[in-house]
Amino acid sequence: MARSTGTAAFGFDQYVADIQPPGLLYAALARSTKAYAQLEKVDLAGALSTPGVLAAVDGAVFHRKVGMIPTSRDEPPLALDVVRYVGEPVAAVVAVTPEAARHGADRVRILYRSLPFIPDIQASATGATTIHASMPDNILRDVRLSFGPVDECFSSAQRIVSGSYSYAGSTHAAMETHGAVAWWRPEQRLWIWSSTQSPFHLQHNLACALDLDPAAVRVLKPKVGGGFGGKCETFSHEIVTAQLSKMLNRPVRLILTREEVFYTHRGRHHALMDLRLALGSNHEILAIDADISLDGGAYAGLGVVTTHYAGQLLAIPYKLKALRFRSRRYFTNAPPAGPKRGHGSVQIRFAMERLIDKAAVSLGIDPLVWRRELALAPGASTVNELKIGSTGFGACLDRVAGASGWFDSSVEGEALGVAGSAYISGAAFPIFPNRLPHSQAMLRADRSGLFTLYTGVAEIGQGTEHAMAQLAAETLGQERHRVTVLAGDTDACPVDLGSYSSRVTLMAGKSVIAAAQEVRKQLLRAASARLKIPVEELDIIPGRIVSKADEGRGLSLKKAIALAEEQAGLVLGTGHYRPDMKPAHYKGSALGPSPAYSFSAAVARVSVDKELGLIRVLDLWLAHDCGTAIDRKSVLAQLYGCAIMGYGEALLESTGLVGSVTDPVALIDYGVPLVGDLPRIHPLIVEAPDPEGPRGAKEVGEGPLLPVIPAIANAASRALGVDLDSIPLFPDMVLEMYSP
Amino acid sequence: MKPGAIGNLVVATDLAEAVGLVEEGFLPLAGGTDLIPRCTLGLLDGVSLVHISGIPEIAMVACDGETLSLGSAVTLADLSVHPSVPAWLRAACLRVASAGIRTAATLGGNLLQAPRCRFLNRPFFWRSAHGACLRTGGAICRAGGDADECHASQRSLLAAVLLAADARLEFLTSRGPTTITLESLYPRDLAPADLQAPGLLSRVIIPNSGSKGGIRWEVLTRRTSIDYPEIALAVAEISPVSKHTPPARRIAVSAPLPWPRLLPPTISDSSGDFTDLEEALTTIFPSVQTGLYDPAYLRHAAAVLLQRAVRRS
Ligand SMILES: Cc1cc2nc3c(=O)[nH]c(=O)nc-3n(C[C@H](O)[C@H](O)[C@H](O)COP(=O)(O)OP(=O)(O)OC[C@H]3O[C@@H](n4cnc5c(N)ncnc54)[C@H](O)[C@@H]3O)c2cc1C
Repeated sequence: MARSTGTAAFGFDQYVADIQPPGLLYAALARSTKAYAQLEKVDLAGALSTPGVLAAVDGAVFHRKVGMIPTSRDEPPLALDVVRYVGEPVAAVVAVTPEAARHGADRVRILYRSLPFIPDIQASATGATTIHASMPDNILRDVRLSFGPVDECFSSAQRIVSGSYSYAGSTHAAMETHGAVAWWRPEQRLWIWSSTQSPFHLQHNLACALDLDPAAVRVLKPKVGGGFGGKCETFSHEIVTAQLSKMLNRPVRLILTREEVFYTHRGRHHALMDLRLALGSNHEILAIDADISLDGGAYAGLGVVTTHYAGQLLAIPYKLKALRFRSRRYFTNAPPAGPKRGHGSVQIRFAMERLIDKAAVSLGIDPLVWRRELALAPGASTVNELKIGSTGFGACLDRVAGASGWFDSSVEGEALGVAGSAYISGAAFPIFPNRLPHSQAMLRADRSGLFTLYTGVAEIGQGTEHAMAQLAAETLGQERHRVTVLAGDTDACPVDLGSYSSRVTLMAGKSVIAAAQEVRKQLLRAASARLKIPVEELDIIPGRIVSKADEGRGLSLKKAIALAEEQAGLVLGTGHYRPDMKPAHYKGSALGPSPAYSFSAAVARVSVDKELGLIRVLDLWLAHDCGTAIDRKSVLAQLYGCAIMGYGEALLESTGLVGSVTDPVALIDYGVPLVGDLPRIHPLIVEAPDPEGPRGAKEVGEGPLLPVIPAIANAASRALGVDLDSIPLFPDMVLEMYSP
Repeated sequence: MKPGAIGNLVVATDLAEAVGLVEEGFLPLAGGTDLIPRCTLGLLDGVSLVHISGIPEIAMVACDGETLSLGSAVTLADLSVHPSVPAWLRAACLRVASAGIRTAATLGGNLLQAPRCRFLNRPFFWRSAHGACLRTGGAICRAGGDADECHASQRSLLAAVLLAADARLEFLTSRGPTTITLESLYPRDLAPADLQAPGLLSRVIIPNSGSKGGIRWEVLTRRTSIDYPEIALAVAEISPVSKHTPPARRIAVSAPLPWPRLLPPTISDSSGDFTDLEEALTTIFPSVQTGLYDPAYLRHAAAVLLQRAVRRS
């Protein structure tokens, strides 16, 4: 079980590759070298005769397809009959050493009958070849939603602006690769350690995939070295290790290589987007009309969510009268795309913010001032019925304007660009429709004077456990170090759905506060009885419970806990959170609503080498309304992280097929930003506490990424006087768009 | 093709042993930053290696007034701070790879590094899916649009810089030292295979005379470290022999050409009219994409960078 110890820097923490149960075996996967083919034969004989190899399996051992969304489970743990992308797992080999397992996997002979493969959206759209027989048009979801009088808005518009945008796929580049250790135990239960963002989903999905009772699966999440969305889903290596362990009654480990992560990652969807804006006589946005095509790769994964978010979140952060979108996710013979920080929204936000700037240029108005005028008000309800609580969007724009000197005269050769955005703080409705809490917490007071918080949150390096401890401690009036967090064990911890959709601070935070409030009450009651002071007149301060009127009258916290234990047997508080929301009355309305929305704005200052097409980002001001900053350092860290990731996506990073194979497949060839290249980053915290948030807090992990990319593109477009509408902004492409 | 096995690995105890083993066909292993990845990626198989970094005679920097002599086994990190090394070369060393790599990478290894295309680093599985190329047992160059010649490019910045500086190389064999021009080390044609060095490279000799104002170099990389150059070029203004001879310049380019080379005087000595320059580069620049960027862009960018280097003279 992971403890919140802050010891990562010293190398004391255990990651999945450090887990070493007795008798550990090692697995390796044989992967498809074909993008689309019938599997004629999977011959395991060579693998089985490899010294050290104990077993080898192919897709026939599994009886169920998997997938996060119950309605789109289309992925076999190991390919069966057909392979649909290069890198798809076809067979698994288990051996006494990792080398023997790899060697054995390399000796699996796979005979293919190649089929014409579909490399991209355009080819997929022709429908000439079908990737899944059940999806004859190659479309996982074709979401068409319309809100308000769209056509009327366009016909009465004073001005219509439109643009076509493209956004490349990219990977998460988490430092730790994916991996799992599965152990089928003598008591006929499965223990699995995995580098995952959602232990409870993993528990459920593993049980489904292996026909087990979920009670037979215990997921243990050790330290995780980053996820960024790439470790949300349940993966082949997790299911395969579990199956092999069950077969051999020995623990089995499989850690993916970096190359394998590029085949597995569920990176950002490549997107093509056409957008139109209808503007009224006062420059108000009357309507947005969007057509979005996403390259989903070979399997569905969480693609249904992506497809909806891409359109639904267009309704924030600006006021609109009408919104219409068509969002389609195509199957192609590429590794499946999935959630990456800012899931579903990053691509369309780029397009929208570019279009807003284009419109501002055509109207001759200041794009920052205009955005401020367009901002949704607190308490607003959007055309698609998203309910806004608090919004600090205006304040975010003010902060970046002030800090960047937006209104000052510009420096020759440099340009500023602005963008705004909003994001969800958790999805109001769970992936599996039910009325169960999204998050639960238990807090136990110990007679030693310490507290233990049991929570299902999945710390993946983002500081979640720290934030939970902070909330518990503040509620109890104690210092943070008095709260130990025990998380990451589905046997020991109550449920939390996982680290995705920026849901943890709000949802787990609310349940933690509720649990801490219960404990607080018990302690105050016990102290009240002993001190003969009414509860309302008592206060808890670090280490003591005292009379508000006379701090000299009181007792130690330890004593209070002991008294409470005498009364209750065990001092335990529980809390849970389930958004008190109902979907609106249209199909698809469950995807998009959130208990609270965060807001962000960014200004980028760039200089462009016009002869070479090289964009240099000098400064990035990034303001984010996180409701309340529960821990300022963690908020700042997320702002830095978002600025860096956004900078990389804007200028350096992309993944795509070369021929039929995804490329690149090594970090050295993939352009993650290096520290020496980074612009000066100026994080700015804005606090507009939300009534739904714990102490008013909203998300900070994903939303701040969204405006960074369009702010850079807007600045560069301004500098060059052309529309840079395609991400990433590689210099050869920039120069092609700009001919002086 | 699988990760290659290494035959013998001998740590040379002295220069004579190293020279002898190189003659027997052992490949010198200096910092290993180029050679070891080629072995692990299976681009070299069964090679025997002689480790040469500890040999003092080839790890020295000496300056005798007329010439500067740089040991082939001096690391780029050491060169970048050595007081006898001219500022332009120190700066160029600092622009190679990354701080970590420079602590191992040597000058000799840099000049003799293998040519590469954008797929050279790709691991075995990737290649088996994408298809073998000329370097990996296949019949076509995949980076070169399925061409029948290899379109890799040797991307050494220091080669361009030292070509412009008119450097000479001293190689050792059992018959004694031979000195050749750096220019003559590199073939003129496409890059069919790795470079065959004529012995153990002992030192790089840079004449102190000949180029006034030092060497000006330009490099285009995606990021400011770690990435191999997409373009690397250098310019030297050559002092006129007499008042009556016109000034000349030596321009060297490595990436994205197959091998580093001096540009012909017709290009080098032109006054630098941009359109002419870009046009002239068209004749020698590759028409296929060997790196990250489009070939037309690279021609244009190289012309821009060349002009900038010339203008700085
Ligand atoms: C990530 C990365 C980024 C890079 N970026 C750049 C860059 O920006 N610019 C640039 O110019 N280079 C770049 N390089 C190349 C780098 O500079 C070379 O890898 C390095 O200089 C090679 O030196 P080494 O000592 O490690 O050579 P080794 O790997 O030991 O050897 C390289 C070759 O030289 C031969 N060799 C070495 N010494 C001798 C000798 N004395 N006599 C005969 N043959 C010899 C070896 O046999 C081998 O064939 C980069 C390399 C990496 C890995």
